[in-house]
Amino acid sequence: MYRMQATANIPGANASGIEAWLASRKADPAFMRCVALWRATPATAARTARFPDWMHPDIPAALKRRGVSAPYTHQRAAWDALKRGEHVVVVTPTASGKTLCYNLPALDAVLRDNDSRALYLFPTKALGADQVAALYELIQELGADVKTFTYDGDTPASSRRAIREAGHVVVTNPDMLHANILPNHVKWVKLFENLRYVVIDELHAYRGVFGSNMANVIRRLKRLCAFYGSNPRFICCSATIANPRELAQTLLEEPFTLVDDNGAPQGERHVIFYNPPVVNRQLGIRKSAVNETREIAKGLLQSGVSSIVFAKSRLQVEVLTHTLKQLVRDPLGNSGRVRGYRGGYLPSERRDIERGLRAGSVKTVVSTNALELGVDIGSLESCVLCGYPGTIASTWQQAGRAGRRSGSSVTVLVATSHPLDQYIMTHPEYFFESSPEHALAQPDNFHILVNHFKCAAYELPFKTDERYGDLDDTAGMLDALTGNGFLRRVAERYHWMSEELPSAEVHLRTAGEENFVIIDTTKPDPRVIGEMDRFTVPMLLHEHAIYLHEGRQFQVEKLDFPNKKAFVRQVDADYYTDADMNVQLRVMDEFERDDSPVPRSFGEVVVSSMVTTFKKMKLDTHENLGYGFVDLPETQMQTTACWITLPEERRAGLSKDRLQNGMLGVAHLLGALAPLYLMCARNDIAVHYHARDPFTQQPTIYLYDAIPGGIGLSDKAYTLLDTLLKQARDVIKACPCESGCPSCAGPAPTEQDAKRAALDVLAAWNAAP
Amino acid sequence: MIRNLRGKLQLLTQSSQPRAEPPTEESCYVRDESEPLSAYKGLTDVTAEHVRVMTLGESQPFDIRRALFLDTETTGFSGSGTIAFLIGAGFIEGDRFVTRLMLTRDYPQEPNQLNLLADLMDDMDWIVTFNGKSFDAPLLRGRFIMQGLRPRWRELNHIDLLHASRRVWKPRLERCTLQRLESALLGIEREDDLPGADVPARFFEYLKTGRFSLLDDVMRHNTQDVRTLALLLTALARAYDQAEEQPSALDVLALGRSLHRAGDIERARRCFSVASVGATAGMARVALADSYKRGGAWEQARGVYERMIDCGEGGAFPYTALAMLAEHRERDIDKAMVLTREAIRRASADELPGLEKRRARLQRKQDKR
Repeated sequence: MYRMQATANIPGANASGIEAWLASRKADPAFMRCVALWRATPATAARTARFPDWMHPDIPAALKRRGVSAPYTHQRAAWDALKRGEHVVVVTPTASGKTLCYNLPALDAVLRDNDSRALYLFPTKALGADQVAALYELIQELGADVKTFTYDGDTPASSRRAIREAGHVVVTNPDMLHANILPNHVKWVKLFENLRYVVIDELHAYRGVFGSNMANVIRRLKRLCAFYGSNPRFICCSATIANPRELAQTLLEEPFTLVDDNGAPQGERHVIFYNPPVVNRQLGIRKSAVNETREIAKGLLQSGVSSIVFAKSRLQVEVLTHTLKQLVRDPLGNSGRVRGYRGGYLPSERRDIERGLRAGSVKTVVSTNALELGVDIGSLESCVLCGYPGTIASTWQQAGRAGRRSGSSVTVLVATSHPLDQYIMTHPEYFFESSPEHALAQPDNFHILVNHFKCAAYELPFKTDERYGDLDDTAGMLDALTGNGFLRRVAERYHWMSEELPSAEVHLRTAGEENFVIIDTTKPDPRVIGEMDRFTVPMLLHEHAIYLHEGRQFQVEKLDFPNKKAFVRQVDADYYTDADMNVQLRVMDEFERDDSPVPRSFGEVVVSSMVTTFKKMKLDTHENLGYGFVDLPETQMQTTACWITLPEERRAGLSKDRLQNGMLGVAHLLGALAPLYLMCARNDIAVHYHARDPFTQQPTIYLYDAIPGGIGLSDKAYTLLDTLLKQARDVIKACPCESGCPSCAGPAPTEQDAKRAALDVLAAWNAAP
Repeated sequence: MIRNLRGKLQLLTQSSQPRAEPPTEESCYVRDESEPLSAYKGLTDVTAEHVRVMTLGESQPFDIRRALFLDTETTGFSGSGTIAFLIGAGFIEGDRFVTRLMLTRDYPQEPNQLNLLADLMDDMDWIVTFNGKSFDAPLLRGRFIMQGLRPRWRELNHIDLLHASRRVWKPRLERCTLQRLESALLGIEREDDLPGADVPARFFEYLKTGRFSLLDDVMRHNTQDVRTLALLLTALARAYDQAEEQPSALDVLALGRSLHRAGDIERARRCFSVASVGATAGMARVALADSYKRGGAWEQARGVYERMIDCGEGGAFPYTALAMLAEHRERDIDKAMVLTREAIRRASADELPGLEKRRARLQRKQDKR
C-alpha cells in the first residue's frame, strides 16, 4: 500500500508496470523509429525432476523444509553428470538456482566422507561472501558439521591454520589461490589430497588477461592435485553466453558436459536495440546516449518498473543517479529509491544497496559494470545499457540482471556514436550469432606462460617428460628457462633455482592496487566515504574537482597525493568537472620493423599521462562554464606498442590539413576496431597519434597495450595491421554520413571531409589499392 | 619490469649456457665436527623446569641428551619451492657436543639428506631452534611431504629460543637477532661471517659453477649457528636460575614478567621488588601492584601505589589506581574524588579524558547522596 502511494508521488507517474510500458513504447512512433531491433522470447513453464536416489537423504529433507520439493531439470542434469564423473558447466539465467547445482554435490560428498573437500573460486571477494552466506543457511538447515570458510586477504592469520586443516568448503578467489595457496601447498595437504570438487562461478569473468592467467592457475592447481593423488571434478557456472563449453574447455582443458536446458520457469523477455535519432546528418551527430538512457530509465521508473541502468563510467553513473533522484525526491528530500552503485563505494554501502534491491525498496540502480558479476541483487524487471559494453559476454551478463521466473522483462541497449555501437546496431546478427568469448582467453600467451611456468616450477619440480596443460612444447619452454638460469635440470627433473618467489611478481589482473581514500570533512567528525584507484584519482579527485558520490556533490578541497587521501566537502553546485588527460608516448626500443607495404614497427614505449586542466560543465545542459588548472605528478607506464608511419615519399599530393585529418581519422578507427580483432576489452588497447613523432620523424599512429608490461595485444595488432586498415576503409565507405562522423572517421576539426582525408591516407599507404 | 621480460625473451632464444656437471651420487654431503662438552659449561644442567619456564608450557620430561639443536640454510623464504639445502644438527654424544652438517649438493640428494635427519630425530624428544616454529620446522615438514617421506617427519617438542630470548632480553637489547644475542650475552664476535641474506645466492652460484669451496662460508656460518643454540639455551637457563641477581634491572624485570606468566608468582614478585630501583622502578612497581591485584591482594597493591606516590613515580597512575580501589573496593566516593583530582593535576593529555569521565561519574554519585 505504501509503495503505491510513493509511486503516485512521482510527477506524471503511471504505476502500470512493465506490460504497459512495453505497450506504450510500441505505440510511440518516435521511439519505434529508433528501434534497430526488438526481439521477444516467449515465457516458459517450470520443469522439475525428482531428487536422485544416490543423494544423501538428509539433503532433500532439508531442502523440502526450505520449500524446495523438487529440483529443476537442469539441477538434476548437473548432479547426474557429476555422479557419472564428468565436469560440468552450467549456463542458466539469473535466479534459476545455479548455486544448488554445486552446493549439493559438495555437501553430499562431505556427508558421506568427512575428509572430502571442495574449493570454491569466485572472481571477487564480495561474491564469495554472498555465497558463503547462502551455503551457511543450507548447512544450518541440514544440521550437519560442515565447515565452510572464506580464505582471502581479510582472513585473520590466527584462523588460517584451522581453515587449512579443517575447512570442508574453502571459498577463495583466483588471486589468493595463485599467490598464497598454491605456493604453500604443503600447508594444504588435507585439501589437495581430498579435493573432490572445484567450483568456478562467474566463468565468463575469466576473459582477457585475467582469463589467460586463470587458465594457468588452473594448470598449476591440477599439477598439484595429481601430485597429491586427487582428481577433482570441475563445476563451472556462467551467465548465458554463446559458447560456454568452449570457454570452460579453454580455461580448464577438460571435456565438459554442458547443462543449459533451463528448467526454471522464465517470463517473457524482450531485447530492444535503440539507436538515438540523428540530429545532424551532415556531422553524423546523434542524440546523446546518456540523455536517451535517462529518458528511458525515467519512463520505467514512472511506470513502477524495477530497473538497473549500466553506465560506462563513474561520472556517467553519478550524473544519471543525480537526475533520476530528482524524480523521486519526497518532501523530506529522501530519494533512496534511486541509488548509484560503483567501485569506490564502501563495502558496507554496497551491501546496503544490494539489500535494498532484493527487498524492493530500491527501484532503480545506476551502476558501472561493478554489478555485472553475480552479486545477489535479486532479479529485476528491466535493464538499460548506456552504450554497448564492448563485448558480447558483458552485454549478456548485464542484460541477465533483468529476468524473472514470472512476468516480462526487458533489456534496452542504447547505442552511442562509437563505431562499435553503430556496428552492432546495423549488424544485430553479429551480436546474436557470434561468440568471441572462447578466444578471449589465451592460456598460451607467451608472456603469461613464462610467468606461470616459473610459478609451477617453484611449486613442484617439472619432470622431463611432463606436459604442462595442453602445451605441446613443454620441454622447449623448460629448456629455455633452464638456459636462462631460472631452472636447473638434473636427474630427469627441472628445479626452481632462485630465491625469488615467482608468484609475488605475477598479478592476475591489472587493476591498480594502491587505493586512495576519500574523506568527507563536511561535519566536525571526518568520515571516509569511499575509495578510488591510483590511476583514476588525477581525473576525478584533483583539487577543486566536483566529486559525485551517490548523487551528492562534494568538492575536493585538498588532495594529499603522497598519503593517498582526498579531503572533500559537500557542496551544492550546478556544474560538474571533467578533467583533461594529457597523454605522452615515447619509444624506448624498436624490436621489429617491416617497411612494406605499410611501414610498421613493434617495440617498447613509455606512456606518461598527466592531468593539467579541467572543465566546469553545467549539469543539465553540459555547456562549458570555464576551466581550471591541476597540479599533479604524471603517471608513467611501460608497455608494448606497434606503430605505423606515413613517410614523406608516400604523402606527395596530400595537403598538411588533409594529412592530419586523415591520420586522425585512421587512428580513431583503428582504436575502435582493434578490440574486435584482438578479441580484447575496449580499454585493453589504446591509440595515440603524433603529427611528427620524435622517434620516427614522421606522422605516426601508435596502438599500445593499456596494461603495464603489455600482454601481447600490440604484437598481434602488428601482424593484423593489413586487415585492420582494410576494415577501416570498408567502414568509412559503408558509413551513411556525408563527410565523417563519430561512427567512422570521426568529425574533422579543420577540414570538411574527414572521410575523404582518411581514404586518401589509406590510399597513400597502398593499403587500399 | 618489461625490460626484464624482454631480456628474458632474448635469452630464451639462446642456447643453454654451459654449466657444471651435477654430482652423480645420491648421497648428500655429511660432515661431523665435535668439541668437548666442557666447552658448553652448564648445558647438561638444563632441566625440565628450565624448559617449562622458557616455553611457558606444561611440564614435560626433558633430557638434554635427547634434544636436537637444529638450524637450516635455505634457498629463500618459506614456500614450497624453497629447500633447506643445509641442515645443521647439534647433539650430545658421550662427552662431546657434535655438530653434524647434512648438505644437499644438488636436488637429487635431498631425500638422502632428509632421511639422515629423520634418523637423528628418531632418537630425540625435543628440537631446539631459533625462530624454528615459524620457519625451520614448517619448511622441513614441507620438504618431507614434497619428497614423499611424510611418515618419517616426527613432530617433536620444540623450544624456540627466539621467543624465549625475546621475553628475557628484548627490553634491554631491543633487537634479538642471533648475532646480537651472541655479542651481548655470549661474547661471540663473528669474523668474516657470511650474512644470512647472501646464503641463497651462494648456493646457486655453487650449483652453477660446481665450486664447492663457495659453500665453506655457509657451512662455517651454520656450524656457528648450531653451537650458539646450545650456548643460548644454557644462558637462558642460567638467567632464570639467577633471575634476581642479574646486573641489569631491565633483565630482572623481564625475567619477573616471564616467571609470572609461567606461574611462578612468588619468584616473579621478588624480581619486581628487586627491579623497583632506578629507571625501572615505575614499571616494576606497576608490575608488582598488578600481580597483587590479580591475586586479590588489595592491601599489598595499595602499599605499592602509596610507595610510588611517596617516591614521586608514575605521574597520575598511582592516584588513578588508588582512586579505583577507593571507588570499587572501599566504596569511599569522597576519597576516590580527592584522588581523582590529584590524578587530573598530574595527567598527560592522553589520560585526561578518561579521568574527566571518572570525575563526572564520581560527581554524580556524590550528588545522589
